[in-house]
Amino acid sequence: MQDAARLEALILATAGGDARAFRELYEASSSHLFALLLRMLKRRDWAEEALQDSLLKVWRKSESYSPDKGSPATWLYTIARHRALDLLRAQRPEDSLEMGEDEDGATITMDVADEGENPEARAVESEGVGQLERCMKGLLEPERKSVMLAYYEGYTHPELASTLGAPLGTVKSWVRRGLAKLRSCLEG
Amino acid sequence: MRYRTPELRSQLAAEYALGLLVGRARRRFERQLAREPELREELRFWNERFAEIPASLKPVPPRELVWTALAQEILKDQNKIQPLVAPTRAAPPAAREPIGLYRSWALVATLVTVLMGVALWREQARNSSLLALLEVAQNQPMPYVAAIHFDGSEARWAVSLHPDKKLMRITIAPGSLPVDVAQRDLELWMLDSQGQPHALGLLPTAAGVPLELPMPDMPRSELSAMTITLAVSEEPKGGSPTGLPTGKVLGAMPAARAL
Repeated sequence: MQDAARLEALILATAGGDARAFRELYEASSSHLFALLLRMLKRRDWAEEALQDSLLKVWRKSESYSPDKGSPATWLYTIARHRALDLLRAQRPEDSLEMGEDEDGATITMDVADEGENPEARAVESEGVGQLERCMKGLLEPERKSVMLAYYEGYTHPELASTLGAPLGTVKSWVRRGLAKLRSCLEG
Repeated sequence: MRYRTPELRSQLAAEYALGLLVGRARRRFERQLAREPELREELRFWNERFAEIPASLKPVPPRELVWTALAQEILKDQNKIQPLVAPTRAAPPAAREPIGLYRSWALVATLVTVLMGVALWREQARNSSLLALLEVAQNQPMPYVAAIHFDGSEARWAVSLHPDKKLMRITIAPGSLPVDVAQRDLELWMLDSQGQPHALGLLPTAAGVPLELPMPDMPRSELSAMTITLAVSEEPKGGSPTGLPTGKVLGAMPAARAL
């Protein structure tokens, strides 16, 4: 996304009811937020609906943004991620966790170990190298997977345990150790 | 009670940011969050770091339908907050004599009638909302207008672009269409002076109320000419997935300032 100062100015102008600023904010952020939503929801139509909901919230609640709470990109990503998590969690009781269907009716495997089945998910895989990404490499595979599943799928500890096929206590310690390693790597 | 160690604080803040804290642990964390600035700082740290996860994804442009739907909501919101007549009460009504109130009302009513009369006279052929009529009466720049029609099909569209209001209005005279609307949509573009297309929105394919959309941001210089060029392409349902025309261009047409 664009630099923080620019995004911040656009969010503040949007809070003042400036629809032009909002259009610019849309242009600056929508493809980034959409990549996240597509990665989380796997279906283009759901991701588009979630994007619409998220940005409508941005339009209506932009006055709730405050620079001292975090960067504008983080704020935007957080709104989009929470919208997707709401949708994912609402589906879970009746829908299998493992499978989803895309628009054309093709079944998509949602196992994070193998994202290769969905061309859209594959197309949006990572390219930039941030500090976190470097530190993630220092985690053991189950630790990294637990963090990523919690982030992208919104899994709780028991859901992680059932998805990863490990006892709850083991999963909790994977998460704990993974986060401790990340913290010390990010500080270093 | 505060969490015992900085490590525990960091751990819980990270788990909270990921959504892993539930039930009592979550409620306790939120209570502590309100009390402990260090905890807020720690949460902010993790939120910023975790935002790097999606930031490493390759951007994917959404289809035009997302903006079209958002734009409708924005216009609804704006029409709610923009009164047709500016507030005229200088003092609370209780402080006025009734006759003053009636006089103000009469003045406002007269003003509105005159404005509407002028506007209606100037705009009688155009199917515009009251809001737009009043804007014309305030002597604002005239919109660009274009008629769109494709050989071999019946439907016709009237498009007006109001650069001053950043607003576009599309009406359709329905009839047969140049595409199968079950499969494809018609997307409207504006070509800039370099010939680059800018997405304006999807053409409606069935009769309905005039579609109003905000116009995308264009440099002022692009919207000062007497005519601009529009184009229509056929696209997958929901509009171009790339932000540029991907299907057959069905035609290009000039839009001229309405004098």
